[in-house]
Amino acid sequence: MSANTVGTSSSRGKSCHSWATIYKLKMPTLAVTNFNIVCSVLGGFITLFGLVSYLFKEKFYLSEACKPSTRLDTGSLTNWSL
Amino acid sequence: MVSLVISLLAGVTFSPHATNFVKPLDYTGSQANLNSATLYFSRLVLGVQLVLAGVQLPSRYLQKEWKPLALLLGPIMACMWVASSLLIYAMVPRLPFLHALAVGACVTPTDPVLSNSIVKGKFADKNVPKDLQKIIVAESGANDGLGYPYLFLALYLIKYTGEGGLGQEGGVRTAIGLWFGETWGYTIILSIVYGAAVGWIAKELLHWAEENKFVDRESFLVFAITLALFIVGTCGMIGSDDVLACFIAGNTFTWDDWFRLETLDDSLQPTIDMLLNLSVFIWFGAICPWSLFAHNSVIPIYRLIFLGVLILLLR
Repeated sequence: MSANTVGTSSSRGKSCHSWATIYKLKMPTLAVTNFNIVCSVLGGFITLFGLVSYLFKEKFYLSEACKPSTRLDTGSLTNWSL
Repeated sequence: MVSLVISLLAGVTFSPHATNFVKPLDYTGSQANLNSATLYFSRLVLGVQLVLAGVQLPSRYLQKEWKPLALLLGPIMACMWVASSLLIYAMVPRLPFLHALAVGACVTPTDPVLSNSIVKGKFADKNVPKDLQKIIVAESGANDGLGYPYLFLALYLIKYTGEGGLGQEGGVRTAIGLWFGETWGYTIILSIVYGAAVGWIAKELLHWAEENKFVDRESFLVFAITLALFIVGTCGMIGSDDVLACFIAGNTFTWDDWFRLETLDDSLQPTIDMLLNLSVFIWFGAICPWSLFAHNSVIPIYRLIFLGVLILLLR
């Protein structure tokens, strides 16, 4: 009898838990998942590196291919794709 | 539009339903992993799409056109929500009204990916006025994030008042309180502030770097896209509304129209756009449990088709 009671109460607890997990309605929490980390790191790095990319490529001569034509200047902007 | 339908069909063709070339369930291991992979993929695509949509809008667009936008996003969107919910409530047998509201909230926001296809291209340039194109882009960009309040109002009410509110304390009062505090305060307001801040900082940084001639052409073009990546990651991490933040960031990023005019004649952004669109629709075609449409315990197929037609008509 007691085992039966325990069984029902635990199953009720379980269904309560699953309800709470289906509807993720808890206080806002940090979602530090792998995807979020990878996205932030990649996005942040490429963005920040992009800001100084020309400096690295051309000024410090770290690039293997020196392409002066890829330099951003307003004159070549419009017909760059040609 | 046509290309998206074709890629959806291509996804079905390559999926385990037909030729079994693409096996999403094998790659991810379990159904739960498959679902989260789909979620991440969609978030990534939507984030990039919405930053690009925000970049395309002219200078100060959200500030200048806030009146028609507020009309579209407030009353009209609420009407669409109620209309779709009522239709769903009427057509699906044995569905509680609150659940119908939740489902209705999911179909209310117009999709920026699909709406992009009716405002771009030759047909659109001929037949859709420029102002209308812009407002459609702005509306579809903003309403993705703003679908949250409707969805979460229904979910909170289900949780705290519905017959399934197993052991939950509080009633409508708690639900409404949480709705204002968390959905509006934490999700909507925070994501707008965050998106605006990131967009503004990115704009200032890019200006500074460009003036000092630190940026090369490739990095300059790809800047908006990596910005989207960054926002999807960080905003998802704090648990806020990354999609809305992306749109706002894209818009503040070109607040002075500088980046938009510089990249106007370049085809990199539409190219990335198309790549992501096609791949996400192939993925959807491959993972969609098509057999559930015909055999499920919720709604018979003839009612579902009728419901779809009615929603399209009445909206």
